Amino acid sequence: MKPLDDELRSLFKRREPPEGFAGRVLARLETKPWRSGFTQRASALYRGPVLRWVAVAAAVCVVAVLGVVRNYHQQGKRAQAEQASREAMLALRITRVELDAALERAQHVTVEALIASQKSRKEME
Amino acid sequence: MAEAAGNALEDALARSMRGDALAFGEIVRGHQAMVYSLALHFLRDASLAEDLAQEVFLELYRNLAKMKSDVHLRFWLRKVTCHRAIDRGRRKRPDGMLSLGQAPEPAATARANDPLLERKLWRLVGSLPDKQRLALILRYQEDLTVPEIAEVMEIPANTVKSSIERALALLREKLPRSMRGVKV
Repeated sequence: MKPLDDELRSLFKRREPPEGFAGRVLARLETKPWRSGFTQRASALYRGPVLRWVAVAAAVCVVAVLGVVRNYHQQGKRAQAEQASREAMLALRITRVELDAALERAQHVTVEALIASQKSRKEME
Repeated sequence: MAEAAGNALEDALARSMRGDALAFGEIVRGHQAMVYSLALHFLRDASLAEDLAQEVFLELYRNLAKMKSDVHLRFWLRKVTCHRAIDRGRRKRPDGMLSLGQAPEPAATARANDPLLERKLWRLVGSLPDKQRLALILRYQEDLTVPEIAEVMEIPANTVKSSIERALALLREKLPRSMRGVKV
């Protein structure tokens, strides 16, 4: 009779799976939408150190370009806002001048009416 | 011989990463006995073991780009198989046990054993807690050292050592006196 050590080695000896196991695995690969050969090749290429650096550099470039474009847009918006503010101030100024003129006309009309009413009172007396 | 096989699998890994399906088949054939046996010895059910082994290889295919070498791939397969086996073992029906008669033939010719003792041992191993059983399987099937088992199971080496010691103590206690000679 063998000692326990040997019995365990014998009990846990590697066993081959049933015939055709690898074929069944490959068949399951065919039926499931796993990664395509292209994406797998692409990810294998990405493992290369040079390509990894190229990818990092490209990502940095994209971020820089996006930053410049965003800055440009912000500057444009700021200029538009300043223009709108200037136009609003002008409009307010014009409105104030018009109002002053109208007020003056109204005062003039009121004075004339007062003078006319005093004249007619004197004539009646 | 083993070096040539290792080189062939290394080459198959490189070709497989370039999208060669036949090369992936070579990888499966090169590691199927290891993966299937780990699953079989843990789950003790031939059909569950085959299903789990297939799932592990499908997962390998999805993670192929992460494999750095055949050694890394073998480590990954062992780790994933062990973790999936523990998960599957928790869901397995309690009567799903494999008798020795149902077990497939060994890959290499086994020495003549006492079938009654072997059956008893098989039953006793099956009654061990998951982690103790897995540590024993990795020790005796894969011939791994305690630190290697700890790495695969992702637990401290001291825990592995005590798990193996406790498992062997239990087996020694339950087995006939003549079989108790064992070195940890």
